[in-house]
Amino acid sequence: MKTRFEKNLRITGDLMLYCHHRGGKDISSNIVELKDKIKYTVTAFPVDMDEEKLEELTVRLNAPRQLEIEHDYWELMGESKDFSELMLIGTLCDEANIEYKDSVLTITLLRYD
Amino acid sequence: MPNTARLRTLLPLPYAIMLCVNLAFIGIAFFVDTPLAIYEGFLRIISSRSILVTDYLEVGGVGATLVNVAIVGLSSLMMLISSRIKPSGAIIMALWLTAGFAFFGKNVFNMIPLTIGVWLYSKYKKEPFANYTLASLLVATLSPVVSEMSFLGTFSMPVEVGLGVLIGFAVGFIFPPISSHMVRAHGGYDLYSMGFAGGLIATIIATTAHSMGYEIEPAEYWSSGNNMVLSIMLYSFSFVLILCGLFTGDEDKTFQNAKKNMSDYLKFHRHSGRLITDFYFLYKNSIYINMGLLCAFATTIVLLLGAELSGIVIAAIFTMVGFAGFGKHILNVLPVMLGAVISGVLNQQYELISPSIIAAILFSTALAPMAGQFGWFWGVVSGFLHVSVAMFVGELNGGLNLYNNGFAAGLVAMFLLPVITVSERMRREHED
Repeated sequence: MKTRFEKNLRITGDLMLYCHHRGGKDISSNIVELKDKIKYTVTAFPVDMDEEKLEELTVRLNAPRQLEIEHDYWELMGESKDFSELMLIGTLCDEANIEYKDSVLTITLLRYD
Repeated sequence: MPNTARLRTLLPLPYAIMLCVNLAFIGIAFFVDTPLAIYEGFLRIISSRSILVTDYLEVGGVGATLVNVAIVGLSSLMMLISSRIKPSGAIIMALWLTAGFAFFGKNVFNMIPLTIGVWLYSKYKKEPFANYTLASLLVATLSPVVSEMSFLGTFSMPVEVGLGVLIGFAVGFIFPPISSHMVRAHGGYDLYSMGFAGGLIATIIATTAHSMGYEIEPAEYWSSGNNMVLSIMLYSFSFVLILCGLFTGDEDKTFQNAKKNMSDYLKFHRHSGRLITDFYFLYKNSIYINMGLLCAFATTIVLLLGAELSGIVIAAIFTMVGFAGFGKHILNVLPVMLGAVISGVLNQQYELISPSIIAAILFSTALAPMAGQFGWFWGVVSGFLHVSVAMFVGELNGGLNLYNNGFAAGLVAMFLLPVITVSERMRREHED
């Protein structure tokens, strides 16, 4: 249970750090524990994203869920240097949706139990 | 579903390649040795103590070693397929690493108790064993613990083997939580993270044994004289891997696949390689170009230096091939290897072409992310320190940790990361 909550915090923490790195000044995060899944939402403004960065973020966060490596590497989250954790976050989640409009970046992730 | 599509689902290309590699090992084994020699050599391999350094090419001969590699590789492959694990950069890495270390230290007898230990841990945690697949493949870093206990030569054989198996269960059980926790210590800059965890466990075991009056005798079995057969084998693998990298993919035309995969391959070099950088997810089949090139590069370096392709060197080359899908590329391994070669030249204890130094030079690429992230200078420093550390930490854990270079690389990363952080901060302040 403790691990589960720690994972939640690190997933949103790394996403918030990414938003901060891209210029976000107003950043908020939300973790909702639903019946069979957890929903994470991070919203940031103003975020500096070009097409290439957006594509990179989308690809990495949409990495397929890899249960077989989760146990071994999840503790790497929160060690951000080059945001290679984004792919790690992708492997921990099942669905990712990224929206970017008028300098507002909204990242929504779903992680099934 | 058409037959080819069904086959592709059941046996995706990375698994098919590994299957072919292992079948090739069996073919080469029976080409170079007689069945009787292979049988006798295989018995010598599984009954060896297997601690560092026990080169199976020396203990059992080329044929028996290749059969051992094939058995270990095929059993790992079967486990993945039966667990319906899809290939990823990490899984491909683990398969090549497993095969490589079956050239020295890892065999079908000493790896199974450890895997069962990991399985028991998954049951204890009430989680599917598939969640611990990577740990179950890489826990074999501690295979020598099982063999050392099983062939002590103090008690009767069944008692010793029983003891070895039980200790294997225990070590396998504690491995997953320790390995998971240890990644934080090096922040993902030691690619051989499991070796770092294995080094810690082996050190605890070896020092406890030492304090209780049991000395683990070092082993010194090095093979030589197999360069012709093994270099042909390695260059053949390189060639086939590059062909796979160029000419497989989703495009209808072969030429289009080659163009796309080559273009994707060039993108590898943008990445630092820090854990986890899954090239297979990002660039699919172009990883085979990277694998083939790194295999050829490492083999050429060894031959140019005039060294022997011993079991440990082959393991180091296979490890580089495996990590070509999970963080390594030519630009982040070059600075580290350069530093390692300089360290090898200056080393007063060992010759540059001694198998230990050559292996340490190749294994130093565990620190490739240091070069990828912090640049050439720190890459060279990392490689330099790695060789010095790797040559001596093996004594600390009594040769019980096969991925000893992963342990050394972890220590180097732990030491260098704060140094780099401080020096970069000082540089920025100086510039301001």
